[in-house]
Amino acid sequence: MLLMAVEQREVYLLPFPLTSEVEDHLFIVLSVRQANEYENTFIAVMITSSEEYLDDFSFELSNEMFDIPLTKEDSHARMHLLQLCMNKEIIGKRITKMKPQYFKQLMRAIGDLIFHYNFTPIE
Amino acid sequence: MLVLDYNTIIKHQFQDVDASRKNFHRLSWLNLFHYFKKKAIDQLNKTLSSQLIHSRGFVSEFNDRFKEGTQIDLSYPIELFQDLININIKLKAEIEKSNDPQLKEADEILAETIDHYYTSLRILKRHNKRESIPTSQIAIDSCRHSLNTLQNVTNGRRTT
Repeated sequence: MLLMAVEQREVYLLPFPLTSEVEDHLFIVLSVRQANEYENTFIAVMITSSEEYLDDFSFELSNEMFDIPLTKEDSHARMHLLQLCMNKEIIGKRITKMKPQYFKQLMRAIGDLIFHYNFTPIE
Repeated sequence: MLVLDYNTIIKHQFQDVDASRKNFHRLSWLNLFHYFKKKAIDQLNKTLSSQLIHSRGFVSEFNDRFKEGTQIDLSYPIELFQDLININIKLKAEIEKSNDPQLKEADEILAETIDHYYTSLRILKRHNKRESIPTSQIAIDSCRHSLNTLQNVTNGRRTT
């Protein structure tokens, strides 16, 4: 089975198991294509629009940060809840892609606030 | 108490950028009147340059002020900075959309300013005092998702 190539900054819909049901959630891919292709897995951060979870570990997202606007307003990424996902879990096609300048800020925030490391891109 | 002064500055910055955004909508009408358009762009660049200087100042000041281990309640300035970032991102998106070469300078200034504001926000969040909370439902669900992925892999259901 040929799986699609998953690229860094892309946004996909994935099933997210809740206690009693499965809800679909958007995820931003953090890992690079070479790593994603190695085992058809990727590291992603979950997007939620629930205000209940809006705090210092949230990276607020706006439609202007993406090539195509997100489906929901007031979304944010939960920076400390990183996930290992499988390519075959992806529902449908790519939803959108985050613009490089804002993805850089997301990675910096994750590096700084979650790992206390300086995540700066290799140009 | 100094934080209150920061808050006032941040609020003023927000108002300036918001006003620039509103004025920006009028720029397209000024296309036919070169002189007025140039004046409007000069004014925009002036406002944004002033904001850029302030944004650099915030980073420098916060780095000096908040030493490792400092934990104080910074929730309000964090909220203000987030609003300020959002309004700048909106203005930048409108400038990008206009595709007007005369606005290249404004776009570059905004990019650097947003970068500094994000740095300030990270410093504030790092030093914000917060209490631990019980594990949230979303965190529990995240763990379950990770477990599912692990089981998929260990059970050999990978498609590779």
